[in-house]
Amino acid sequence: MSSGDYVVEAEGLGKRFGQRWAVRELDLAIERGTVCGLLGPNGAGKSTTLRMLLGLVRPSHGAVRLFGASLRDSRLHVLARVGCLIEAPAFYPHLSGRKNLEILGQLSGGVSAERIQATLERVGLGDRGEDRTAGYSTGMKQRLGLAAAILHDPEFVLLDEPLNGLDPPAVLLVRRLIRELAEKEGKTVLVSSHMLHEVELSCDHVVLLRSGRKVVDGKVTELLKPDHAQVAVRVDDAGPAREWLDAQAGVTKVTLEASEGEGVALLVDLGEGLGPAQLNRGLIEAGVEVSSLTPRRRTLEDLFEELIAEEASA
Amino acid sequence: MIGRLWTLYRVELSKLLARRLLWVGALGVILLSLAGPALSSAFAAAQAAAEGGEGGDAFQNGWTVLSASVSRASFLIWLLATVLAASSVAEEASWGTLRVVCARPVRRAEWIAAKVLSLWTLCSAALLLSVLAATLSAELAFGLYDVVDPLFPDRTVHTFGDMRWFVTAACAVSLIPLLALIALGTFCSTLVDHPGHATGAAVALLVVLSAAGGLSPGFEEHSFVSQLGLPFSLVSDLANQYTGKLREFNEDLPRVAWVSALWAVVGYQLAALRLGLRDVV
Repeated sequence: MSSGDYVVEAEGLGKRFGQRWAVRELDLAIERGTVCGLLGPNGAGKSTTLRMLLGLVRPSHGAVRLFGASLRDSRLHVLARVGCLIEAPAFYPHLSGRKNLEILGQLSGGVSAERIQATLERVGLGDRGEDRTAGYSTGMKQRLGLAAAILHDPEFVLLDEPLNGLDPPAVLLVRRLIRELAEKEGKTVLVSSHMLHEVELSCDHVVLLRSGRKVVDGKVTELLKPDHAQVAVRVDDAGPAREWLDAQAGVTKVTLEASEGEGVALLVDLGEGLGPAQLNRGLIEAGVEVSSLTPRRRTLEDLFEELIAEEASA
Repeated sequence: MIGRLWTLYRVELSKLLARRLLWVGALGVILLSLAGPALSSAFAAAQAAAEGGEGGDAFQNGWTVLSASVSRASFLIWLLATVLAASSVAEEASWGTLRVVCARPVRRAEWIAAKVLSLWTLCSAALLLSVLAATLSAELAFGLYDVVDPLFPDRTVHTFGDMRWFVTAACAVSLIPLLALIALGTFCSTLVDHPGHATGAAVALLVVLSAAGGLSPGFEEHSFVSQLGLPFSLVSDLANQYTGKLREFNEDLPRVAWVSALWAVVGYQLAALRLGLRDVV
């Protein structure tokens, strides 16, 4: 892949505040047209990374290239192609939402009144544009922040915790918006979040930070590809079920799960030669009453838990 | 660069014009200037009463009232300029809009220049309004004529044309220390992210500069703080027929201009440097 295929390239990026490294030795490459999730617990260095990508914070080490150009040398040129929502959305409280967007549009090289109205409508604020932002709820400010980020039709959009303070309909709207930006408009989106499920649903690629260091970097489909099939089975009685499962060569592991409601839940790891259908038939033939059988997907939460467990054991 | 600066200037101007404080301040400046003759007469009567005399100031005329009115209104303008300049960047930091602006394709030094120039424009407009309002009220209350010696009415000390020139020159030169005040206020605004603390820092800086000027005549000559009110103070002296002040007027005004311009450049450079070097977190 050539350098032109990447919107963001960072090498050995690091930021030290006093004696503490907030980000350390971070290499980052984000492909054009993808949605990349920057994940990590609070204090992992996500916001500092985003700020370094925008030139708000000077790296103590390493360098950033956006659209193939050095951020330090071509700051104005590259920032004109970037839109962002950094941390909490911030606006001039004494001005209306529309006036705030007008100002930000002017700072980004000029945006038409029609474009401002269309953007307000896109984030569900079409009829609240004339209200002063001081009277906006947290969710409305977050929506206006998103509007400000995409207002000037940037090629690269950085969103820092875009789902904070949003109600469920707004979460759906933002999730759809992020996918649309990438799939329909060909934009590159970098979303920082600690909400693993949301990132899993909207991102193609994830980078996981922990204590300022990158611990995972890869495509979501590859990272979540199971190395073995796993099935959750709910049965009436665990005894006969385990007896039958332990006798099967195709079953590698059986775990008793915390159970709610009727019956017992077992988590079964399947090896070669045994699929969910054969498992179901075998259990029924062994006289076990199976009330549900659900193939398990690996999630980012599982991945995150595994990493924490690995670190703890190390 | 001019295009970018012009855009930023318009943005900053529109933000300032949306501030209620600015309009309240402008109204205060106009009212204070219009009330100039009444206030001057009241001060003259109070002074005469305190000294045991009967009448007011025999040398009071339209020009003395005009310069006194503008001097009083100027104090309000300096106050307004200090508060607005010192809170300009700090307020953006406290609202979080500093990072929003700095993440856009904006040069920080140009943004600071736009902030300084837009506030200077509005404060200059307030000063001009003050001069116009003071002229109107002085004309209505006393009339603006040649300045004559009250004991020898045939003797004209300064003609109407001379006085008009003194007022115009004083007004123009007063704008330069005003620019220095705004530039240094903006520098203070880049030091802390709290508008109140930044305003406190700006006021403290002015007090220190003023005190230093009081202690050292050499420094006073080269401090813009002591020269903020000097032009109209000289106009007042001239209208009061201190004829010897004419030479001082002609010598001091250019010094006020270049000294203040120097302070304005230093203040702007410090503000731009400080904002340019800091991390925006």
